[in-house]
Amino acid sequence: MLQKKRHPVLFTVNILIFAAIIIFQTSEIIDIGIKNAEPMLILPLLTAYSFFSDFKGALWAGLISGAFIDSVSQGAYCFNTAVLMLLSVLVYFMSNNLFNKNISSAIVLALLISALYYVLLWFFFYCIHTDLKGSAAFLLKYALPSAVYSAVFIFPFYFLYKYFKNLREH
Amino acid sequence: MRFFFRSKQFKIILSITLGLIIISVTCFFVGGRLSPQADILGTAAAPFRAALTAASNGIKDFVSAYTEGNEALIKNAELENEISELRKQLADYEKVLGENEFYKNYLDIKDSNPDFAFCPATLISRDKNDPYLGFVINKGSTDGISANDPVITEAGLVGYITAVGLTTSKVATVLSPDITLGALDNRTNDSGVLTGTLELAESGETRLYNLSRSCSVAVGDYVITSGEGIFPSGLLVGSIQSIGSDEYNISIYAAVKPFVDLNEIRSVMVITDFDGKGGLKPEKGK
Repeated sequence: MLQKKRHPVLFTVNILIFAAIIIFQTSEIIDIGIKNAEPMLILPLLTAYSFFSDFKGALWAGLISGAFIDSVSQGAYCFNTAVLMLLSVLVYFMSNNLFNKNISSAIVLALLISALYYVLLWFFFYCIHTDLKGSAAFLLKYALPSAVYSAVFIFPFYFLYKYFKNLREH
Repeated sequence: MRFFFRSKQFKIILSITLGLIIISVTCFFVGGRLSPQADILGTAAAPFRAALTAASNGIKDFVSAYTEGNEALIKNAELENEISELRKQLADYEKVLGENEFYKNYLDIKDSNPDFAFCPATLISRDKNDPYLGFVINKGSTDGISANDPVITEAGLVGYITAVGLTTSKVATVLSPDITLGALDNRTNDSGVLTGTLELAESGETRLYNLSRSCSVAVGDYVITSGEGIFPSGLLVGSIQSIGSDEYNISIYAAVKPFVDLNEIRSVMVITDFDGKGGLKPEKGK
């Protein structure tokens, strides 16, 4: 019977990376925003992780990261928990069934996931509650620039998780 | 595709999503509480966030001392390297001095409002996706904080508590459209309703609307809370920056710049109790 190899060191390193990014995302350590574009680093990180992960890994990573983000997000009860879980399993399914596992696919997926996240955020918190002018302003001035800026960070995370994958396989 | 809908993976995703929807709906109707999973993880992460925020504030102070060319502080920093023990004592002394100043300012507010009960709190994280500069503080229901409690600094009104966890709470600022509070022009006593908009939030302002066309508000006037809604009366909000007319020419509005610099907040006071607490709750917005 084929037994799955366990890598406690890689597992711990993964937890530390996620913890560092989540705390960086929710603390005021360094502001890397450009004008209204505030990158959500957890999105490219989840994309890269789920790209090389199995189903359970993608599911848990999305759930736990989302719950942490929900603890600081205004107005959100379970929005981030649900959306990040769904997006990370979406990356898992798309990377395994629709895309090749290369950097181009990762960039397309990162852009898609970031855009989807911000469109959902806009839909649930601005489109329904805010007037047309305000919701359009949020979408164009904040959401879309932030989505594109977030997706840029796929490069370091993609190569990091590709390296981890190679380590696991050898 | 139909095999996917019958798979175990799909059933897991569906059941978790349904569970989260049920939690969200329950939290929405209960109101004012963090969702259980966010509360647990938020409580676990709070000490790390607080430590990192304190460290980053220290670094910011150090960098700003250099960039602003404050020679005394630079000299002080150089001396600190040489006499580390003295530096530690000096840092402790300055911290106590700052805290004394902080509490003295609140004591003035407390003196003029003996009915106020305060709970001091520190900002530990910000929601970077919130254009209205909402943030999280390090105090929660175990410290006596409840939803809709007003949040102030010595400079004036900051906002109110939107959701409470065990050891953390979320604060919506006066820039947010979630806030709808009765406010007065301190000079003329003209009353209106204060609420935020996305356009004004970009320039760090909020809007006092529903002012009568015959009112005599002027640029530079101070705006204070009128006591309607969840806020006590007499809290300083900000000063009027500009005045305009609404699209139907029925009433006028004023853009108000809050006295509190919402980008630079580090410590706040939550008013946990005051005479007349329990007024109208803010409308549910975002």
